[in-house]
Amino acid sequence: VAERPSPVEPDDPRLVAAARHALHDEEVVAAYAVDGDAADDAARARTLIDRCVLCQDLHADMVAIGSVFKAAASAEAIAAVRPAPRDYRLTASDAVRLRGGNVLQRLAARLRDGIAAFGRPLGASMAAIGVVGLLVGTMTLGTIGLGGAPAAMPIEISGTAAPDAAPGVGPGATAGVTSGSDPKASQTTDRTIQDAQSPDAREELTPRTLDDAMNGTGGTSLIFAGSIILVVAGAGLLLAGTRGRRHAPARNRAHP
Amino acid sequence: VEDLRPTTVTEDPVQRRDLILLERARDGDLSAFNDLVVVYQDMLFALVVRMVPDRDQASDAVQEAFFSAYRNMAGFRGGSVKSWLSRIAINAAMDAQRLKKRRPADPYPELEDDTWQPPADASADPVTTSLTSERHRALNGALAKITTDQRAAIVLYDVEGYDYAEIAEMTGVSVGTVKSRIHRGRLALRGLLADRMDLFRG
Repeated sequence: VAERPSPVEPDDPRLVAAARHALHDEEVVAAYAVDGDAADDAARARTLIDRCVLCQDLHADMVAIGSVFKAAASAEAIAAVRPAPRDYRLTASDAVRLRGGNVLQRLAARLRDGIAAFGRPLGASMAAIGVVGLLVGTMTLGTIGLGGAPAAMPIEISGTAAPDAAPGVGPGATAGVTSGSDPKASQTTDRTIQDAQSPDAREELTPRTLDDAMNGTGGTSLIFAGSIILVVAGAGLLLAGTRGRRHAPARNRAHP
Repeated sequence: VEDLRPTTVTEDPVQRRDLILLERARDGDLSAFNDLVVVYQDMLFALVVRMVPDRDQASDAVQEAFFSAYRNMAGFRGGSVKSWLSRIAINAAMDAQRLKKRRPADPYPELEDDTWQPPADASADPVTTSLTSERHRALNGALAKITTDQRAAIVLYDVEGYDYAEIAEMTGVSVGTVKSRIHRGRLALRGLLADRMDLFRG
Protein backbone atom coordinates (compact mmCIF):
# COMPACT_ATOMS: atom_id res chain seq x y z
CA VAL A 1 0.00 0.00 0.00
CA ALA A 2 1.43 3.29 -1.10
CA GLU A 3 1.88 5.83 1.66
CA ARG A 4 -0.45 8.79 1.29
CA PRO A 5 1.46 12.01 0.81
CA SER A 6 1.05 14.52 3.61
CA PRO A 7 -0.77 17.68 2.49
CA VAL A 8 2.09 19.73 3.84
CA GLU A 9 5.60 18.45 3.48
CA PRO A 10 8.06 19.44 6.20
CA ASP A 11 10.01 21.42 3.65
CA ASP A 12 6.93 22.99 2.10
CA PRO A 13 7.74 26.67 1.46
CA ARG A 14 4.35 27.68 2.95
CA LEU A 15 5.16 25.93 6.18
CA VAL A 16 8.59 27.46 6.27
CA ALA A 17 7.14 30.90 5.64
CA ALA A 18 4.47 30.38 8.32
CA ALA A 19 7.06 29.24 10.82
CA ARG A 20 9.21 32.22 10.04
CA HIS A 21 6.22 34.59 10.14
CA ALA A 22 5.30 33.32 13.61
CA LEU A 23 8.40 35.10 14.85
CA HIS A 24 7.38 38.43 13.27
CA ASP A 25 5.68 41.14 15.25
CA GLU A 26 2.32 41.59 13.51
CA GLU A 27 1.52 44.72 15.47
CA VAL A 28 4.46 46.50 13.87
CA VAL A 29 3.02 45.69 10.46
CA ALA A 30 -0.46 46.73 11.61
CA ALA A 31 0.94 50.03 12.90
CA TYR A 32 2.67 50.62 9.58
CA ALA A 33 -0.59 49.93 7.75
CA VAL A 34 -2.33 52.52 9.89
CA ASP A 35 0.32 55.23 10.23
CA GLY A 36 2.61 54.59 7.25
CA ASP A 37 6.04 56.14 7.60
CA ALA A 38 4.91 57.95 10.75
CA ALA A 39 4.64 54.60 12.53
CA ASP A 40 7.03 54.05 15.44
CA ASP A 41 8.74 51.08 13.86
CA ALA A 42 8.24 51.93 10.21
CA ALA A 43 11.68 50.76 9.05
CA ARG A 44 11.31 47.39 10.71
CA ALA A 45 7.80 47.01 9.33
CA ARG A 46 9.05 47.75 5.81
CA THR A 47 11.74 45.12 6.15
CA LEU A 48 9.22 42.54 7.32
CA ILE A 49 6.86 43.37 4.49
CA ASP A 50 9.69 43.14 1.94
CA ARG A 51 10.95 39.78 3.18
CA CYS A 52 7.85 37.94 4.37
CA VAL A 53 4.95 37.04 2.11
CA LEU A 54 2.59 36.63 5.06
CA CYS A 55 3.56 40.03 6.42
CA GLN A 56 2.86 41.40 2.96
CA ASP A 57 -0.61 39.81 3.02
CA LEU A 58 -1.20 41.09 6.51
CA HIS A 59 -0.27 44.62 5.46
CA ALA A 60 -2.55 44.45 2.43
CA ASP A 61 -5.45 43.19 4.57
CA MET A 62 -4.91 45.89 7.18
CA VAL A 63 -4.94 48.58 4.52
CA ALA A 64 -8.09 47.07 2.94
CA ILE A 65 -9.94 46.99 6.26
CA GLY A 66 -8.83 50.55 6.98
CA SER A 67 -10.04 51.79 3.63
CA VAL A 68 -13.48 50.25 4.17
CA PHE A 69 -13.68 52.03 7.51
CA LYS A 70 -12.55 55.28 5.96
CA ALA A 71 -15.23 54.94 3.30
CA ALA A 72 -17.90 54.51 5.97
CA ALA A 73 -20.02 57.54 6.60
CA SER A 74 -19.21 59.52 9.72
CA ALA A 75 -21.74 59.87 12.50
CA GLU A 76 -22.45 63.40 11.32
CA ALA A 77 -23.28 62.21 7.81
CA ILE A 78 -25.45 59.43 9.19
CA ALA A 79 -27.20 61.82 11.56
CA ALA A 80 -28.19 64.00 8.63
CA VAL A 81 -30.27 61.20 7.15
CA ARG A 82 -31.12 59.03 10.16
CA PRO A 83 -32.46 60.80 13.23
CA ALA A 84 -32.10 59.28 16.66
CA PRO A 85 -35.05 57.12 17.71
CA ARG A 86 -35.75 59.21 20.78
CA ASP A 87 -35.94 62.84 21.79
CA TYR A 88 -33.33 63.32 24.48
CA ARG A 89 -34.34 66.77 25.64
CA LEU A 90 -34.58 67.08 29.39
CA THR A 91 -37.86 67.70 31.17
CA ALA A 92 -38.17 70.19 34.00
CA SER A 93 -38.27 67.34 36.51
CA ASP A 94 -35.14 65.80 34.93
CA ALA A 95 -33.39 69.12 35.40
CA VAL A 96 -34.47 69.47 39.02
CA ARG A 97 -33.50 65.88 39.76
CA LEU A 98 -30.08 66.35 38.16
CA ARG A 99 -29.52 69.61 40.00
CA GLY A 100 -30.61 67.95 43.24
CA GLY A 101 -33.56 70.28 43.92
CA ASN A 102 -35.75 70.08 47.03
CA VAL A 103 -39.16 68.38 47.34
CA LEU A 104 -41.12 71.52 46.45
CA GLN A 105 -39.01 72.15 43.37
CA ARG A 106 -39.51 68.54 42.31
CA LEU A 107 -43.27 68.81 42.79
CA ALA A 108 -43.39 72.04 40.80
CA ALA A 109 -41.33 70.43 38.07
CA ARG A 110 -43.64 67.42 37.97
CA LEU A 111 -46.62 69.75 37.70
CA ARG A 112 -44.95 71.58 34.81
CA ASP A 113 -44.27 68.27 33.10
CA GLY A 114 -47.87 67.22 33.66
CA ILE A 115 -49.14 70.45 32.15
CA ALA A 116 -46.75 70.05 29.25
CA ALA A 117 -47.99 66.52 28.65
CA PHE A 118 -51.74 66.89 29.27
CA GLY A 119 -52.36 70.65 29.27
CA ARG A 120 -53.26 70.91 25.63
CA PRO A 121 -55.88 68.15 25.38
CA LEU A 122 -57.30 68.93 28.81
CA GLY A 123 -57.39 72.67 28.14
CA ALA A 124 -58.99 72.21 24.75
CA SER A 125 -61.65 69.92 26.24
CA MET A 126 -62.39 72.32 29.07
CA ALA A 127 -62.61 75.29 26.71
CA ALA A 128 -64.90 73.34 24.39
CA ILE A 129 -67.21 72.37 27.25
CA GLY A 130 -67.18 75.99 28.38
CA VAL A 131 -68.15 77.23 24.94
CA VAL A 132 -70.95 74.66 24.79
CA GLY A 133 -72.09 75.84 28.21
CA LEU A 134 -72.14 79.44 27.04
CA LEU A 135 -74.18 78.45 24.01
CA VAL A 136 -76.63 76.50 26.11
CA GLY A 137 -76.90 79.44 28.50
CA THR A 138 -77.49 81.85 25.65
CA MET A 139 -80.13 79.59 24.15
CA THR A 140 -81.83 79.29 27.49
CA LEU A 141 -81.85 83.03 27.88
CA GLY A 142 -83.13 83.36 24.32
CA THR A 143 -85.98 81.04 25.11
CA ILE A 144 -86.77 83.06 28.18
CA GLY A 145 -86.56 86.26 26.23
CA LEU A 146 -88.95 85.07 23.51
CA GLY A 147 -91.37 83.40 25.83
CA GLY A 148 -91.11 86.10 28.41
CA ALA A 149 -92.05 88.99 26.14
CA PRO A 150 -95.81 88.89 26.76
CA ALA A 151 -95.29 87.97 30.36
CA ALA A 152 -92.93 90.83 30.69
CA MET A 153 -95.82 93.21 30.60
CA PRO A 154 -96.23 93.17 34.38
CA ILE A 155 -92.56 93.97 34.65
CA GLU A 156 -93.04 97.23 32.86
CA ILE A 157 -96.04 97.98 34.95
CA SER A 158 -94.63 96.98 38.27
CA GLY A 159 -91.42 98.69 37.48
CA THR A 160 -89.31 95.63 38.14
CA ALA A 161 -86.53 94.80 35.75
CA ALA A 162 -85.47 91.81 33.72
CA PRO A 163 -85.88 89.07 36.38
CA ASP A 164 -89.64 89.39 35.93
CA ALA A 165 -89.21 87.96 32.48
CA ALA A 166 -88.80 84.61 34.14
CA PRO A 167 -92.49 83.71 34.43
CA GLY A 168 -92.27 83.22 30.70
CA VAL A 169 -90.32 80.08 31.37
CA GLY A 170 -93.52 78.45 32.55
CA PRO A 171 -96.44 77.34 30.43
CA GLY A 172 -97.42 80.92 29.82
CA ALA A 173 -94.18 81.53 28.05
CA THR A 174 -94.75 78.69 25.66
CA ALA A 175 -98.17 80.08 25.06
CA GLY A 176 -96.64 83.42 24.27
CA VAL A 177 -94.45 81.93 21.63
CA THR A 178 -97.17 79.89 20.03
CA SER A 179 -99.92 82.44 20.48
CA GLY A 180 -100.03 83.24 16.81
CA SER A 181 -101.08 79.77 15.84
CA ASP A 182 -102.99 78.71 18.94
CA PRO A 183 -106.06 80.78 19.76
CA LYS A 184 -106.40 79.05 23.13
CA ALA A 185 -102.93 80.06 24.07
CA SER A 186 -103.61 83.56 22.82
CA GLN A 187 -106.53 83.80 25.20
CA THR A 188 -104.32 82.63 28.03
CA THR A 189 -101.82 85.32 27.20
CA ASP A 190 -104.49 88.03 27.02
CA ARG A 191 -105.81 86.87 30.32
CA THR A 192 -102.37 87.02 31.78
CA ILE A 193 -101.94 90.57 30.57
CA GLN A 194 -105.31 91.59 31.88
CA ASP A 195 -104.63 89.91 35.19
CA ALA A 196 -101.31 91.60 35.36
CA GLN A 197 -102.84 94.99 34.62
CA SER A 198 -105.29 94.61 37.46
CA PRO A 199 -103.81 96.35 40.53
CA ASP A 200 -104.86 93.53 42.85
CA ALA A 201 -103.29 90.91 40.74
CA ARG A 202 -100.15 93.00 40.41
CA GLU A 203 -99.61 92.84 44.13
CA GLU A 204 -100.09 89.06 44.15
CA LEU A 205 -98.07 88.42 41.07
CA THR A 206 -94.99 90.46 41.64
CA PRO A 207 -93.42 88.58 44.54
CA ARG A 208 -94.11 85.20 42.94
CA THR A 209 -92.74 86.41 39.63
CA LEU A 210 -89.58 87.62 41.26
CA ASP A 211 -89.02 84.29 43.01
CA ASP A 212 -89.59 82.41 39.82
CA ALA A 213 -87.34 84.80 38.00
CA MET A 214 -84.62 84.33 40.51
CA ASN A 215 -84.90 80.56 40.25
CA GLY A 216 -84.94 80.58 36.44
CA THR A 217 -82.05 82.98 35.85
CA GLY A 218 -80.14 81.55 38.81
CA GLY A 219 -79.66 78.29 36.92
CA THR A 220 -78.72 80.14 33.78
CA SER A 221 -76.28 82.33 35.68
CA LEU A 222 -74.70 79.24 37.13
CA ILE A 223 -74.31 77.77 33.68
CA PHE A 224 -72.83 81.04 32.46
CA ALA A 225 -70.43 81.39 35.36
CA GLY A 226 -69.30 77.77 35.12
CA SER A 227 -68.87 78.03 31.39
CA ILE A 228 -66.83 81.20 31.60
CA ILE A 229 -64.61 79.62 34.25
CA LEU A 230 -64.18 76.57 32.06
CA VAL A 231 -63.36 78.66 28.99
CA VAL A 232 -60.84 80.80 30.86
CA ALA A 233 -59.22 77.86 32.69
CA GLY A 234 -59.21 75.76 29.53
CA ALA A 235 -57.62 78.54 27.49
CA GLY A 236 -55.00 79.07 30.20
CA LEU A 237 -54.23 75.38 30.37
CA LEU A 238 -54.10 75.18 26.60
CA LEU A 239 -51.68 78.08 26.49
CA ALA A 240 -49.51 76.67 29.28
CA GLY A 241 -49.58 73.25 27.67
CA THR A 242 -48.53 74.67 24.31
CA ARG A 243 -45.69 76.64 25.90
CA GLY A 244 -44.57 73.71 27.99
CA ARG A 245 -44.73 71.34 25.07
CA ARG A 246 -42.45 73.59 23.06
CA HIS A 247 -39.79 73.06 25.70
CA ALA A 248 -40.57 69.53 26.78
CA PRO A 249 -39.44 66.49 24.83
CA ALA A 250 -41.62 64.04 23.03
CA ARG A 251 -39.88 60.88 24.18
CA ASN A 252 -40.33 58.84 21.05
CA ARG A 253 -39.67 59.99 17.57
CA ALA A 254 -40.82 58.39 14.39
CA HIS A 255 -37.92 56.76 12.61
CA PRO A 256 -37.99 57.46 8.89
CA VAL B 1 -14.14 81.19 43.41
CA GLU B 2 -12.18 80.91 40.22
CA ASP B 3 -14.26 81.37 37.11
CA LEU B 4 -13.38 78.60 34.73
CA ARG B 5 -15.65 79.78 31.99
CA PRO B 6 -14.06 80.25 28.59
CA THR B 7 -13.03 83.78 27.87
CA THR B 8 -11.71 83.40 24.35
CA VAL B 9 -14.01 84.56 21.59
CA THR B 10 -14.33 82.01 18.87
CA GLU B 11 -14.79 82.93 15.23
CA ASP B 12 -16.65 79.77 14.32
CA PRO B 13 -20.36 80.70 14.37
CA VAL B 14 -21.41 77.16 15.29
CA GLN B 15 -19.04 77.05 18.20
CA ARG B 16 -20.05 80.53 19.26
CA ARG B 17 -23.70 79.52 19.21
CA ASP B 18 -22.90 76.41 21.23
CA LEU B 19 -20.97 78.40 23.79
CA ILE B 20 -23.79 80.92 24.14
CA LEU B 21 -26.32 78.14 24.63
CA LEU B 22 -24.11 76.43 27.18
CA GLU B 23 -23.58 79.70 29.00
CA ARG B 24 -27.34 80.24 29.19
CA ALA B 25 -27.85 76.65 30.28
CA ARG B 26 -25.34 77.15 33.06
CA ASP B 27 -27.36 80.16 34.17
CA GLY B 28 -30.36 77.86 34.60
CA ASP B 29 -32.02 78.10 31.20
CA LEU B 30 -33.21 74.56 30.49
CA SER B 31 -34.48 75.42 27.03
CA ALA B 32 -30.97 76.55 26.04
CA PHE B 33 -29.59 73.18 27.09
CA ASN B 34 -32.42 71.46 25.22
CA ASP B 35 -31.49 73.44 22.12
CA LEU B 36 -28.00 71.94 22.37
CA VAL B 37 -29.56 68.51 22.78
CA VAL B 38 -31.61 69.00 19.63
CA VAL B 39 -28.52 70.06 17.69
CA TYR B 40 -26.36 67.10 18.71
CA GLN B 41 -28.65 64.22 19.63
CA ASP B 42 -28.75 62.63 16.18
CA MET B 43 -24.99 62.84 15.74
CA LEU B 44 -24.30 61.42 19.18
CA PHE B 45 -26.72 58.57 18.68
CA ALA B 46 -25.10 57.72 15.33
CA LEU B 47 -21.72 57.73 17.09
CA VAL B 48 -22.76 55.67 20.09
CA VAL B 49 -24.77 53.11 18.14
CA ARG B 50 -21.52 51.97 16.52
CA MET B 51 -19.96 51.25 19.86
CA VAL B 52 -22.89 49.71 21.66
CA PRO B 53 -24.35 46.48 20.31
CA ASP B 54 -28.01 47.29 20.36
CA ARG B 55 -29.99 50.41 19.60
CA ASP B 56 -31.96 50.50 22.84
CA GLN B 57 -28.80 50.28 24.86
CA ALA B 58 -27.21 52.93 22.65
CA SER B 59 -30.23 55.14 23.10
CA ASP B 60 -30.05 54.79 26.88
CA ALA B 61 -26.35 55.62 26.75
CA VAL B 62 -27.07 58.83 24.82
CA GLN B 63 -29.76 59.80 27.32
CA GLU B 64 -27.35 59.14 30.14
CA ALA B 65 -24.73 61.22 28.34
CA PHE B 66 -27.04 64.22 28.19
CA PHE B 67 -27.92 63.79 31.86
CA SER B 68 -24.24 63.67 32.65
CA ALA B 69 -23.56 66.74 30.50
CA TYR B 70 -26.30 68.66 32.32
CA ARG B 71 -24.92 67.61 35.70
CA ASN B 72 -21.38 68.56 34.74
CA MET B 73 -21.93 71.76 32.78
CA ALA B 74 -19.83 73.63 35.30
CA GLY B 75 -16.89 71.40 34.43
CA PHE B 76 -16.78 72.55 30.82
CA ARG B 77 -13.40 74.17 30.29
CA GLY B 78 -14.01 75.78 26.93
CA GLY B 79 -13.17 74.52 23.48
CA SER B 80 -15.59 72.64 21.30
CA VAL B 81 -18.95 71.82 22.85
CA LYS B 82 -19.38 69.11 20.24
CA SER B 83 -16.15 67.39 21.29
CA TRP B 84 -17.10 67.76 24.92
CA LEU B 85 -20.48 66.14 24.32
CA SER B 86 -18.89 63.43 22.15
CA ARG B 87 -16.45 62.62 24.91
CA ILE B 88 -19.27 62.30 27.44
CA ALA B 89 -21.29 60.15 25.04
CA ILE B 90 -18.34 57.85 24.34
CA ASN B 91 -17.70 57.41 28.03
CA ALA B 92 -21.38 56.74 28.61
CA ALA B 93 -21.31 54.14 25.83
CA MET B 94 -18.26 52.43 27.29
CA ASP B 95 -19.72 52.53 30.79
CA ALA B 96 -22.93 51.02 29.51
CA GLN B 97 -20.96 48.25 27.89
CA ARG B 98 -19.01 47.54 31.03
CA LEU B 99 -22.07 47.63 33.23
CA LYS B 100 -24.00 45.25 31.08
CA LYS B 101 -21.02 42.95 31.02
CA ARG B 102 -22.09 41.66 27.67
CA ARG B 103 -19.88 39.02 26.19
CA PRO B 104 -17.87 40.50 23.31
CA ALA B 105 -18.85 37.48 21.23
CA ASP B 106 -22.46 38.63 21.18
CA PRO B 107 -23.27 39.82 17.70
CA TYR B 108 -25.11 43.01 16.97
CA PRO B 109 -28.82 42.23 17.21
CA GLU B 110 -29.44 44.38 14.17
CA LEU B 111 -26.94 43.21 11.63
CA GLU B 112 -29.31 44.18 8.87
CA ASP B 113 -29.24 47.74 10.06
CA ASP B 114 -27.07 49.62 7.58
CA THR B 115 -26.01 52.46 9.81
CA TRP B 116 -22.56 52.54 8.32
CA GLN B 117 -23.35 54.07 5.03
CA PRO B 118 -25.67 56.81 3.93
CA PRO B 119 -28.42 55.76 1.53
CA ALA B 120 -26.98 55.19 -1.95
CA ASP B 121 -28.04 57.69 -4.56
CA ALA B 122 -29.99 56.60 -7.59
CA SER B 123 -26.97 56.81 -9.90
CA ALA B 124 -24.88 54.35 -7.85
CA ASP B 125 -23.96 51.05 -9.47
CA PRO B 126 -26.09 48.33 -7.84
CA VAL B 127 -23.18 45.85 -7.80
CA THR B 128 -20.89 48.33 -6.07
CA THR B 129 -23.63 49.31 -3.67
CA SER B 130 -24.29 45.69 -2.82
CA LEU B 131 -20.58 44.93 -2.35
CA THR B 132 -20.10 47.97 -0.13
CA SER B 133 -23.12 46.98 1.89
CA GLU B 134 -21.81 43.43 2.26
CA ARG B 135 -18.40 44.69 3.39
CA HIS B 136 -19.94 46.96 5.97
CA ARG B 137 -22.16 44.19 7.25
CA ALA B 138 -19.23 41.81 7.63
CA LEU B 139 -17.14 44.48 9.31
CA ASN B 140 -20.01 45.44 11.57
CA GLY B 141 -20.39 41.84 12.70
CA ALA B 142 -16.67 41.48 13.36
CA LEU B 143 -16.51 44.81 15.14
CA ALA B 144 -19.13 43.60 17.61
CA LYS B 145 -16.82 40.79 18.64
CA ILE B 146 -13.73 42.78 19.51
CA THR B 147 -13.31 44.50 22.87
CA THR B 148 -15.20 47.67 23.70
CA ASP B 149 -12.01 49.69 24.02
CA GLN B 150 -10.68 48.54 20.67
CA ARG B 151 -14.02 49.14 19.01
CA ALA B 152 -14.26 52.68 20.39
CA ALA B 153 -10.71 53.50 19.32
CA ILE B 154 -11.23 52.15 15.80
CA VAL B 155 -14.55 53.91 15.31
CA LEU B 156 -13.18 57.22 16.55
CA TYR B 157 -10.00 57.04 14.54
CA ASP B 158 -10.94 55.32 11.32
CA VAL B 159 -14.53 56.42 10.90
CA GLU B 160 -14.92 59.67 12.79
CA GLY B 161 -11.47 60.96 11.90
CA TYR B 162 -10.32 62.01 15.37
CA ASP B 163 -6.56 61.98 15.88
CA TYR B 164 -4.74 59.96 18.51
CA ALA B 165 -4.45 62.84 20.96
CA GLU B 166 -8.16 63.64 20.77
CA ILE B 167 -9.09 60.00 21.28
CA ALA B 168 -6.68 59.75 24.18
CA GLU B 169 -8.33 62.78 25.77
CA MET B 170 -11.82 61.45 25.11
CA THR B 171 -11.17 58.01 26.50
CA GLY B 172 -8.83 59.06 29.25
CA VAL B 173 -5.85 56.92 28.23
CA SER B 174 -2.42 57.63 26.77
CA VAL B 175 -1.74 58.10 23.07
CA GLY B 176 0.30 54.89 23.08
CA THR B 177 -2.64 52.95 24.46
CA VAL B 178 -4.91 54.40 21.80
CA LYS B 179 -2.47 53.37 19.06
CA SER B 180 -2.14 49.91 20.51
CA ARG B 181 -5.93 49.50 20.72
CA ILE B 182 -6.32 50.50 17.10
CA HIS B 183 -3.55 48.22 15.83
CA ARG B 184 -4.63 45.24 17.91
CA GLY B 185 -8.23 45.89 17.06
CA ARG B 186 -7.49 45.79 13.36
CA LEU B 187 -5.50 42.58 13.79
CA ALA B 188 -8.42 41.07 15.69
CA LEU B 189 -10.80 42.13 12.94
CA ARG B 190 -8.60 40.50 10.34
CA GLY B 191 -8.62 37.30 12.36
CA LEU B 192 -12.40 37.39 12.62
CA LEU B 193 -12.79 38.12 8.92
CA ALA B 194 -10.18 35.56 7.81
CA ASP B 195 -12.62 33.58 5.69
CA ARG B 196 -14.17 36.70 4.17
CA MET B 197 -11.09 38.73 3.37
CA ASP B 198 -11.64 38.25 -0.36
CA LEU B 199 -14.56 40.58 0.03
CA PHE B 200 -12.17 43.32 1.08
CA ARG B 201 -9.24 42.59 -1.20
CA GLY B 202 -11.28 42.95 -4.38
